[in-house]
Amino acid sequence: MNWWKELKQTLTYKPNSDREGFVLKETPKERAMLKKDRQVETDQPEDSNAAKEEAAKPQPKNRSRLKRPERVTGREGSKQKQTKTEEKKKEPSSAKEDRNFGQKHENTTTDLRKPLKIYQAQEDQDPDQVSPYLEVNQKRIEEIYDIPNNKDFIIREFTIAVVPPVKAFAIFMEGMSDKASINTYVLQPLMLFSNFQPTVDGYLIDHIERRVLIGNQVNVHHKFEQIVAGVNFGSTAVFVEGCDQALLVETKGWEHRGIFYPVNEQVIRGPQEAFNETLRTNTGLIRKQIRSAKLTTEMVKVGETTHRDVAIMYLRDVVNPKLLKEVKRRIESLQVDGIVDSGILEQYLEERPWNIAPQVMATERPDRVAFHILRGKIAILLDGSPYALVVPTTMFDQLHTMDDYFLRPLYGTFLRLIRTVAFYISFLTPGIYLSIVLFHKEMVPTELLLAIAGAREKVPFPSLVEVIIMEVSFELIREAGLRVPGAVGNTIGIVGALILGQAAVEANIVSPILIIVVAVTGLSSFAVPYYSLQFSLRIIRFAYIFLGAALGFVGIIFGLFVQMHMLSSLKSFGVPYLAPMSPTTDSTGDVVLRKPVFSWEKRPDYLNTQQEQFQPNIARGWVKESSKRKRKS
Amino acid sequence: MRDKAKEVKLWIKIVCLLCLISTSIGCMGARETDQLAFVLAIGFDKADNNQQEVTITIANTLAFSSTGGSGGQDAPSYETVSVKAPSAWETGSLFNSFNSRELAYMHTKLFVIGEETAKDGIEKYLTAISRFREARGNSSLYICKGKAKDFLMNNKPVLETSPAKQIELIENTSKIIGYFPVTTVNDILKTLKNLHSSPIAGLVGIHKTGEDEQVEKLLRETTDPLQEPYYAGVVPRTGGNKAEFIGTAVFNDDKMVGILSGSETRTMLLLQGDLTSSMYNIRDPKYDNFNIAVNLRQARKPEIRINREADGVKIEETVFLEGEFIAIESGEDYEGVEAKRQLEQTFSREVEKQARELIAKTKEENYGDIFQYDRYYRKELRTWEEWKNLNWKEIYDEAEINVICKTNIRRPGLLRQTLPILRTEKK
Repeated sequence: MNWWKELKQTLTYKPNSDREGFVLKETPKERAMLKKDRQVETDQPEDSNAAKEEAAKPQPKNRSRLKRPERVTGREGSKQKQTKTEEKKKEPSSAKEDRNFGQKHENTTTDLRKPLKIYQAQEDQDPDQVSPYLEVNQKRIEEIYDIPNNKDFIIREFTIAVVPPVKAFAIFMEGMSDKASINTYVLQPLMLFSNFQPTVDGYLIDHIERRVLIGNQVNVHHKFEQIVAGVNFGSTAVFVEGCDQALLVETKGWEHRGIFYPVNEQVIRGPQEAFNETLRTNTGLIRKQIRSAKLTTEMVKVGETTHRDVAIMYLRDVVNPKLLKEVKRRIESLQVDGIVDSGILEQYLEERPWNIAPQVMATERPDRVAFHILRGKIAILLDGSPYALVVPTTMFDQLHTMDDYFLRPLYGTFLRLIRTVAFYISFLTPGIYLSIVLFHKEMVPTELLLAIAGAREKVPFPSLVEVIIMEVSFELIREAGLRVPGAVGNTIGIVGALILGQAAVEANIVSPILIIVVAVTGLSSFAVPYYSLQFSLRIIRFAYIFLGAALGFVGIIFGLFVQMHMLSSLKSFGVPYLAPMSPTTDSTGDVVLRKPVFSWEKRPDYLNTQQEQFQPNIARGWVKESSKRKRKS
Repeated sequence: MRDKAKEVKLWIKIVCLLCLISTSIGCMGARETDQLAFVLAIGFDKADNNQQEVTITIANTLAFSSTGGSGGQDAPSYETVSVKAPSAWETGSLFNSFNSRELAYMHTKLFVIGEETAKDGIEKYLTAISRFREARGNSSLYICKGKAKDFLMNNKPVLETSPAKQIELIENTSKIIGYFPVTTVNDILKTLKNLHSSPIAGLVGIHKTGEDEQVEKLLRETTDPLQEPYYAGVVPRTGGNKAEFIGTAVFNDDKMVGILSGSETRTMLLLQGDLTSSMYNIRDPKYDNFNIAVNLRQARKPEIRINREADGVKIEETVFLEGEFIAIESGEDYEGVEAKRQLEQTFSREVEKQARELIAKTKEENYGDIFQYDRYYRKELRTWEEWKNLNWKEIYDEAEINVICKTNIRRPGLLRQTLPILRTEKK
């Protein structure tokens, strides 16, 4: 197997530290060193000599060191060994602590302690807790945010106008906070209006929270972790001298896009609004459609560094609890540094990454999400992504558009039938063309065959090469049309198609019949509404081209056989991908055809929702008893 | 590690399978369209010295290319060539001595067999065509009056680009007029191998200018407008494509024994139940110099009853015609209920007379049963042995065949009632 080794060598990565400046993979030596390093950190008091020795050694500038987990509030060493899961468990309990904090505080303050010196306080202070010393807090904040260097975070020092005056400082992030609200709701009340009350009732921090700050969301926290999370999301934190808690005032406000037309899922009839990049706006858009207290939005934070909110929306009296549990389990289990878009989240969530069919449906239409939530599905929205993910999804969901539902049943059915035809054309036509031309010439009418043969007469390539040339150039037009900047983008498609089509035929490189085949295929693939599904069909098309050219219809049938098995063995969050066709489950006639709206009596059977009934058997109350059609039962 | 080994094995298997698929390439069955010459029609003839002459019409695909360039549309759309060889199948090999492409028979629409060859028997051609993978059993087979070579060489469709389309379309006219039967290879083979009745085939021919006296004779003899005594080759006409499709060739077993004229063919189709529609002209019962044209179609399948009696077999057939007036030359009001009934009856008698004459002809000329009545006789028998040993021809010749025609002219056309012209001069 010498050749195998050589092949393997060419394929495997070998570090080249001269060029790269760092090593991608740690050597065993480094790994051992790192392990030692960590051990030393935990056992520092006993083995300080060893630690010094380690420190004296040159620091390995490797990736593993860079990647060492770094908690926002963590000071090196203290709690670093805590595992992720432990942290998870701790969070709710800490929240509880937070809530009960006021009570506890009252209890503890009964025996007053002597004030400490600052350096003493700094030493004893738990780095995760807010200290009563303003200076300590400020130092801590500066440490967390690397303040003189990090220009995004601004510390504003001021004095609260109470008697006697109290020093305080506010920290907020430039860019994500609204300056006007900071001025009006934080600084102005604290510096000017705080002396409206002659005396301070109770604790100063409670007084400020209840009487002074006029913002609509003010929280009291005593942990840096929560405070930092708030500040990172645009809130303003106010630290007051002598209080071991901080006030978090909601002053979010950032530049964002307004609600715009749906760009990629247009409908003629129906609402013309799409999600934007703000999570709260998006959830609001869905709530606008479903004004129910039963609609629950759960928030999960995802990303160790990015801390992005993921909203899970469902109707809690409808949704299958097992499905909900599974969705939450998958999202909560994610251990990633950051997720930038729902497209990446989708890939983390789907179970078969190598299967060609998309297993999560993304949509930019709030009405579509609402429609699926009503039927018992779950929507997953990532903050900052204008696409909502709907799970579970079936292939038929992906082939539907909202137009089908908004138009009358006959029109909707017509649209669906057109799309069904388009679905098959979009991946089968070139393959079938090839198998007819190469193997099954007796299948087409004589005149058509002679026309095909006549058109091919001057083409110097075999038909397979011809088809591949055309398909590849079509994909090129498609890709280039998408990437070409702005104003040129629209024209490039037309120009490319014209030039390629016209000139290729005139130069006798391809036959005119093939242009029709490729054009119809391209058109049909655009008629498939879901972008990811389009992609899968575009790729499969090439497989069918080769199968058709190699084996004729037998090959096409092989391909269909394999594809069908691939699809029917697929599941999206426990729901078979081809449900309700395979396995056959009860459906309300909303698969290929579309029955009238008043006959959608049941929710999809494959979802096993808590409430099966979508609407009563007779949804139209105005229909007279006598005119009702007799049901076959 | 074991899993990994398994995975590697799986991938090796997949790659091997893919290699197999790509190397097998459909058992080398793929042919590009420009590797093939598409044969549209084949003619078989007997030549001297026990030789066979095969004529083929090949489509010239270059003529069908839509893009212009040199020699595109100007080229003739087909080419006819013929080769002589001791056997018909050897000629196929000889074609490639001067023809650059592999012959493809999958779009052969037409098989023509010359009259002389047909008289020697056509079974060998039929079985060869049926056995061959590419040739289609549902292509038409016609007998040519004269030589098949002459027919294919002289057949120059005027309105169509290729003979394939010409044949497709002209076969449709058979359904409208019924002057020649559309017979496929399968049909003839089926009749030959399954039934005792005589196979028939459509008759084609080349219009001969030299045989004017025969045409004259036929013209002279024809007095009844219901008669159409012409057959392929002798249709009185001028101009147009020389190929003619009219009449029927009748076989005894696989040997051709005679021909039927246009109107006889129509009657035969009517009695077989295969006539779709036809235009009938009859003499006006009231005015001798005027005709009436009606377009009739077979209203339903004929009812055929076979009675085995002591003095032989009696066959009773009822045929049903229904249709509309095309022309009433005399201006007589035949739309009225009574007049129409009388006309229908007159017409029915005429059709019955034609049928009687045709049946008499088959018996006289020893054609045998061309109407496939034995299909109905078959249910009288119990075993295949009985059927095999049946002497149907004798039974048919002695049978008393009675044809009843029931005509119903339902529609008067766009003129609902004929009224006399308001003449200025009073009668």
